[in-house]
Amino acid sequence: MRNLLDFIVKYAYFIIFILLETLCLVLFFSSNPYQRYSFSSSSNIVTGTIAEKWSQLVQYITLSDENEALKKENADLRNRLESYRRSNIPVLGKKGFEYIPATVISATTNREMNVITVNAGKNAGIENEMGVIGRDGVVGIISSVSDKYSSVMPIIHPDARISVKLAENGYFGSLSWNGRDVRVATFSEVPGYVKVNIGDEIVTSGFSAIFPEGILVGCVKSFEKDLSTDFYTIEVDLATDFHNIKYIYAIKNNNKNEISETDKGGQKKK
Amino acid sequence: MIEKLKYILYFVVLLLVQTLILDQICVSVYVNAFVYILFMMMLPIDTNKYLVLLLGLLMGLCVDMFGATLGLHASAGLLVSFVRTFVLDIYSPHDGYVPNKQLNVRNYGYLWFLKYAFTIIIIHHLWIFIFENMNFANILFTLAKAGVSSLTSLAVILLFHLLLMTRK
Repeated sequence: MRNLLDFIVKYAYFIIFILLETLCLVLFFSSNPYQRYSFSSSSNIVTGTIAEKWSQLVQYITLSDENEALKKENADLRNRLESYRRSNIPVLGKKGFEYIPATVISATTNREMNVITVNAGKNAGIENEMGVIGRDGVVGIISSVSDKYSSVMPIIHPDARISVKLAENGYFGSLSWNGRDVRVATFSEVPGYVKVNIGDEIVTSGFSAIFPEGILVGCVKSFEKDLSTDFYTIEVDLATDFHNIKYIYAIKNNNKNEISETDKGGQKKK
Repeated sequence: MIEKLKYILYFVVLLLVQTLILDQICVSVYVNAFVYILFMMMLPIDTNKYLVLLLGLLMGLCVDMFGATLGLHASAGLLVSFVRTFVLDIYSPHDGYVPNKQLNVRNYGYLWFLKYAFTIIIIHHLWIFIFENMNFANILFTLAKAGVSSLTSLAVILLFHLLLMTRK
């Protein structure tokens, strides 16, 4: 007993270090991405407020560039509205998708586990697992919400998966990121008999109820056929420029409850 | 007391520089600069070693709060605090460290500081990048990233060290 106590006293520093280190690593590896985001994301009040004040300061410097970009987006939207009017397609009404605008206050892009924080939360109607798009295309998925802030898990995060398809012929698969390049993601699960061309557009599939169908994700940069499985691995040039992302829209799906209820009903019958 | 306030200021400044500026800049995925470990490096030589552990853990947790990486930087901050004792021993100058002299380039020389800082930076970066990318197929990428980022961090850490150190 005496020896044991001596041992503990002698190596107390080492033992305490090992205990704390184990605790940290257990926290890191046992938490799923959603827990990680909600436990320790910039969406909580203190870090969110600091990040917002700072970004407001920085925004003054880049204000004119942003104005220019917004003008362009405005013009683009006007043109699209005009073409809708001409083609007489009814613009989606109350029961479709709603877009909630927000400003990016903090964004990491050179990590593997990236996070984007925006200045709108529950009070603005944002909820967990809403899709997020930017000016150029899909950005990510809302992963944690507080009253005034929310955190987005961008496509450029190892845990992000988005259901996408080839715009041309509708073959679908999932999009993931390999951690190397913020401009490139990987689109897998496309069968080998499909014809793929460099430059083909890749859009959201609309299967998940998170994103409406047909929102641009990127273009085919290169592709390779895996001879053993006969599936393509397609490198996708992402449409969204994560280095320079200022404004986003969270997408609220007004039909989501009905869709998930239908799913549940279907499962019960089985 | 003033001495303690100074280190609290270091803590806040380095945390904010890390999360609000360095994490927001993107040059390439190979270039990640981590300046927050400078705080643990500059703590006075006679600081209680348990306190150093605790401060390293606290600093790491704060960085995790901003970056949604629960536990990753906390574990790395703790590791830096732990190895600091041994790295200081290895690079101990001939006549030892003087308790009331800050651990800075003015008192111990540039060569000493660069050796001390680079050893800790390499250990910290390997730890972070290996746990962030637990895929041994990518080990070359991880090592390249750790190498490039270590040099970047060394430059940034030296800069902030010179800005923050006590001039007397």
